[in-house]
Amino acid sequence: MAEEKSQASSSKMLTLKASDGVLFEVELNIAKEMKTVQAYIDDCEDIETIPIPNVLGKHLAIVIEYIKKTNEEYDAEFEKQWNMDDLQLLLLAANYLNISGLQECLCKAIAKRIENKSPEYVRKVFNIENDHSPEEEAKLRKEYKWAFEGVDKD
Amino acid sequence: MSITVMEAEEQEGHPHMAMFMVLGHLPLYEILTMSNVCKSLLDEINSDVLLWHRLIVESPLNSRLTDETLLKITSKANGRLKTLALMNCIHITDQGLLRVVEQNPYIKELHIPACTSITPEGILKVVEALCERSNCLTNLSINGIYNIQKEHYHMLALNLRKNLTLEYEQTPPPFYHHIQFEHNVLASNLRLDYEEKMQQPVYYHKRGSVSSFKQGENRRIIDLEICPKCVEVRMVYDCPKVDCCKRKECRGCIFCIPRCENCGGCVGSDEPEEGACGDILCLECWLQVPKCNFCNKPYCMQHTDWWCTSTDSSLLCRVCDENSHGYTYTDVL
Repeated sequence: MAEEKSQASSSKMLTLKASDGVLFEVELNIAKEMKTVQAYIDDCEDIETIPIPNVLGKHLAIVIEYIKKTNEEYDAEFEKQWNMDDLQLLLLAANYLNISGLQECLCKAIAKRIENKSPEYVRKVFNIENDHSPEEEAKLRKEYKWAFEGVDKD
Repeated sequence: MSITVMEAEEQEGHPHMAMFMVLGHLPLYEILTMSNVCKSLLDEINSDVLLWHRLIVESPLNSRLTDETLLKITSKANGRLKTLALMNCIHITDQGLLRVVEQNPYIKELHIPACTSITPEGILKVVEALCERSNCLTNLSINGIYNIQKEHYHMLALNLRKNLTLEYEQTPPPFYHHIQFEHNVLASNLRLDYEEKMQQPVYYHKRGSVSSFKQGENRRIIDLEICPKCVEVRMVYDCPKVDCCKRKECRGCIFCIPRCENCGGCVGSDEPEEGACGDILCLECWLQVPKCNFCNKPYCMQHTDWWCTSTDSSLLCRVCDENSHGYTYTDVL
């Protein structure tokens, strides 16, 4: 599937401009995998440079690479390279650009990293504050007592 | 460098929007964990009805889930549960499952592998209930349920085939036009055979485990088949070996056709090679993998983390490692 993309008849190039001004020249058929970009092209046919205001250059580079190379093997290795912050920002980028395959891949990757972990671990890794009141916490503990009984530490 | 809205939110300790997107991919245990993390996640989990249309219960909840807690959780779907995956949920009974199905009659995917308190009769009742209307249950996984006989399988196939009509009308094979389908068990089996042949092959080395649910897979309608060799209801595997001489006929359950743990290929009547883990490898795979310095046995791909290293950094299997420390059973006495 990756080979088909690079051999596609369309050799027209498009420029994508990331939020930090970095420019990327990509082939039309690669850009079209991003449904958001596709919609942009459909609306204004003669456009040459498309602004991508929500995505940093470094993440856009990773996204473009993914589109070019994606297959079962690549996907399996892809997610191992990135830390949690990058994974989340990549997911937001994939969501904004509307690339369903990449979204799935990243969601699964993040899900795997929090598999079987405690709330404290999740808070630490995602830098989230615990804003539950003690009453709420007690209520949750009681409601899901059956699920968390006898849990080992991470 | 300009700061995006997302980065600003992150600095305040709020959950990243990305977390909301991931929720739909989480099994139940992780969803409950997330609801403990902070208020906005709890709110999102409680208010997102679509989230509860799919329920996946794996480890560690599989041994803690009861009929009662299952009913309580599935009630969050408000009758619209679409996918129910109970992986090795040993305490769920026929009655418990039936109650869930009565409250959620639109279930499309039902995965209950190794739910050992569920009986074949229980499954039949549930599948009949779910197939009462058309366009209902499309996928069923029951590997690991005890005592499934051919009669049960045929009844299940009869019920599920009602859904197949629509698909076949689009691409029917020519010889089917003349076959009567009503109450024709053989025809329903043939139909399922056809369906299965048109679908992806099932390989032994990719079988995964009954304790974890693989989302979004291209699945068969029923995971089990009638083994062409022993005619029992089992998981039937295809042969991935390109040079297997009887490739198309090399289909059977694992008892009829032993397979290599690494490549899924058939292991002929010439001695199968046993790994230190007890699993079987074909000769080709056996030759390629690293072996224990002492007993010359390898570990299969699933058990490569069982390797120990000896004092001179050579590979030892666990058994030889224990023996090398001079610790034997008799010492305990």
